[in-house]
Amino acid sequence: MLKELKKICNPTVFEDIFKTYAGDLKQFLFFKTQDLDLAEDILQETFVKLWENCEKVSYTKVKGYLFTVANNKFINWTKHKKVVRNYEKSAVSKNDQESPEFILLGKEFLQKIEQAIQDLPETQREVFLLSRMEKKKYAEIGEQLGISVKAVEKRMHLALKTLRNTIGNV
Amino acid sequence: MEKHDLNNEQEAYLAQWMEGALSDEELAGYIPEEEIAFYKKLRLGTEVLRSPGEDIFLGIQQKINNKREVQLSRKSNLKWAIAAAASLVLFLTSYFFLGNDTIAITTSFSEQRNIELLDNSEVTLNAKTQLSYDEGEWEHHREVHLDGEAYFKVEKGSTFAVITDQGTVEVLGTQFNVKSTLDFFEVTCYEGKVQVSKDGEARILFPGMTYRRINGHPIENGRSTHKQPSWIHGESTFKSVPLTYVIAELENQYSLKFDTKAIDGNVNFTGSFGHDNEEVALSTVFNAMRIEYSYNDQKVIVLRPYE
Repeated sequence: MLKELKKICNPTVFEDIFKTYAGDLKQFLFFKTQDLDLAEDILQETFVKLWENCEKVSYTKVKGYLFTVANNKFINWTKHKKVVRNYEKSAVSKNDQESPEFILLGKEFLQKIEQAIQDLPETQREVFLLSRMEKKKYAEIGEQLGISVKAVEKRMHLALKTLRNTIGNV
Repeated sequence: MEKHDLNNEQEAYLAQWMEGALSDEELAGYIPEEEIAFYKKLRLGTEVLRSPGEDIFLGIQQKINNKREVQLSRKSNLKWAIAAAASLVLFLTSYFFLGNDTIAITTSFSEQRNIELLDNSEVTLNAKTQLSYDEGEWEHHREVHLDGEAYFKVEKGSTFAVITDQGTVEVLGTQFNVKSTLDFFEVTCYEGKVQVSKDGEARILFPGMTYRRINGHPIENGRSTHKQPSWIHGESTFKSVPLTYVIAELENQYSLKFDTKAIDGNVNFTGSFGHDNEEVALSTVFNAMRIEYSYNDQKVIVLRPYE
């Protein structure tokens, strides 16, 4: 009754938009930046901008708006990084990646993981998803499923081994 | 996969490592380096696949809040001076003790009052307002009853509810303003998240959002860029509010009585008046609305439209 017209400025609608698009945006930004923290940061900035412009953006165009803003913010970040890097070069030569453990991750690998998770035996998949996607502790999962923590750990261990076997070398 | 893995109680090192119970070095005691590299990649991959949750969304709200604070701090310091002045006007307040542990605090005309609740939450009452709560029940229910207008700064913790005749406002650690009089109901959220509910229907307010209901009719959200309600700083501000309610507020702030028979109270008023100069306040409101005002012998201000 209150939202006959979908207005982005309506907090409930705003939260729904977040739930609908945040996942895809996060992946989109991750593949551009290869940095999860940075991707989530830009993701947040993008939604802040949407909120600030919620009266101007039409609900039907919100997806395109989000991806455009996210992309622009990414471009601005690379420009900024270039400046910082040039400055650092002139001062001390520094490694290209500041993170000590840089892992390059491609889209194909991600698709393989998704597929492999789908193909896991039910008991393993259940534990794996609760742990990795819902960030639940093994103790919580055990409680939820009515099994011991040891059993949860064992299923998780098996799930990881199964994924290793299905995904193979990359 | 080797068979004995399934039967060995100890074989859960991958799971333990995933949850952080085993370090990379410890894991290296079980499997070679390139295997560890794979599992790290798998771990990162699942992080990327995970949909952003509540934590990310709260971060967005936080950023929205911070931005607004920065914008506000750029504005003048004058407001602080006015706030300090306003906080001095805190006399005539009376405490009523009702029943066992019920405490009621009432403000009179032209009076504001700061109070601290048992959990250190702060409440500022505007003029002509009554707030009551049950001290004995406080530990179980953070609940206050409100008639009038108040600004809340709630300490984090269990649910905090403001109950009014016109609906219930619930929060978890936040700043907001509630105004509830006979047929006027307005809630503005300044920080955090607020839920307004009435007869089973609920809506959520984000910082900067206002929900208003006049005579039972809900009005779409307004937006505010202010950090606090203006009355805290000695000014009443209205955005498209029927004149009747503006006049009621003048009565509360200046202890006046109006005769409104000759004018139309449904006309909307947008603007503000200060709490420190009656003459300026009257001329600000009524000149803008093209209304004449004059005192009759009973100290009532009679309002008439311009000829």
